[in-house]
Amino acid sequence: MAKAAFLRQLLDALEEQKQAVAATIVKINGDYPGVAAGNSLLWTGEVQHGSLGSKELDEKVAGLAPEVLAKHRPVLETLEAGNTAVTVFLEPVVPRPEILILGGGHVGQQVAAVGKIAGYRVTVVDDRPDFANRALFPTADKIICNSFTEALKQIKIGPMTFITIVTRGHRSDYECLRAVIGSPAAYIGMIGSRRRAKGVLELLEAEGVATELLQRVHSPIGLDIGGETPAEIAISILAQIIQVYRRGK
Amino acid sequence: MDRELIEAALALLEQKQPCALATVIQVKGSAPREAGTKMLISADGSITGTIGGGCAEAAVRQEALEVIKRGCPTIYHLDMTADTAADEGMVCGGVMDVFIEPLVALA
Repeated sequence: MAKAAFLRQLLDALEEQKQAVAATIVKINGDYPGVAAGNSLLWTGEVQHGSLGSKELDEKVAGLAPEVLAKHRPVLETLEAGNTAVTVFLEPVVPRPEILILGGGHVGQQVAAVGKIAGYRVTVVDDRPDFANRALFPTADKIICNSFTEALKQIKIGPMTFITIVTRGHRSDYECLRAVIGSPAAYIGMIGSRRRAKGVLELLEAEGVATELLQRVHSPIGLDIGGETPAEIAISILAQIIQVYRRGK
Repeated sequence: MDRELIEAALALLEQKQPCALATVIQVKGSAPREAGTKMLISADGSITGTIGGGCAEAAVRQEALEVIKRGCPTIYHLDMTADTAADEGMVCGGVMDVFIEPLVALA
């Protein structure tokens, strides 16, 4: 079951946010023993899991993989194995972006709904069982009912994590921001009026958190489209997340 | 890459449930989804993930059911530029190559 082993390695790479490239033979013109369409391998830099069926091909894939990773874009390449032309699909293994919603109130609920529609994985955290539950978050991938600081110790935050801090009050906002400010998250947004947000940021600055880190925080959160209702605010937050995800800013 | 889809594929494979994995490998012009997009098709016709919906997806699903029966992979070429595409209401107007491989073939 070479395919099962390949898929398992692929899942591991996604789970651990490892840098990897998956290569699969999609077409072969001619015959080459051991080489068949559907053969896959996973390249992770140090290690190569599986094989396309020929050492020569595997080495060529290893040569191409770094560029595929750097460009974040799949490519279709025709490689030679003996006298046979083999077409290989190489794709970067990048985890699906995830929105981590801290706070299960009205805005958090709408961010979960809109985030799911936009195709993101959604995780919600709240310390109140009345808010962190399936009835309020029917489509969320994960619901965690725990104190924010405890929950954040368990959650893996990576370069594909988009964090929205929308808790019930500035005390919790502060705790959340403090816990995630040094993380490699792609995005950190915090709800609240300019004044309330400023208070939280000043508090952290006084504790010695670097200014560059604090400048990354999107607050007030969301693109300025004049949203007022929780759903409108959620849409402006998603719009901002999409902008960061697709344009990197 | 969609972790849930890979998990679902692995689960079907381990339970030996006939299924196929479709991956968009090349796109020209305007197509609904980018290269790398995947869809998992079970022998009963149910799907996980989407490669854009509509007629294109239905056609890939149909072809995938054939792949599950035949047991060998194929590249399915979808042309959404032709007049027929417009007739069928496919408005994207691009060309898409989809690699379809059987994970578990029908015995």
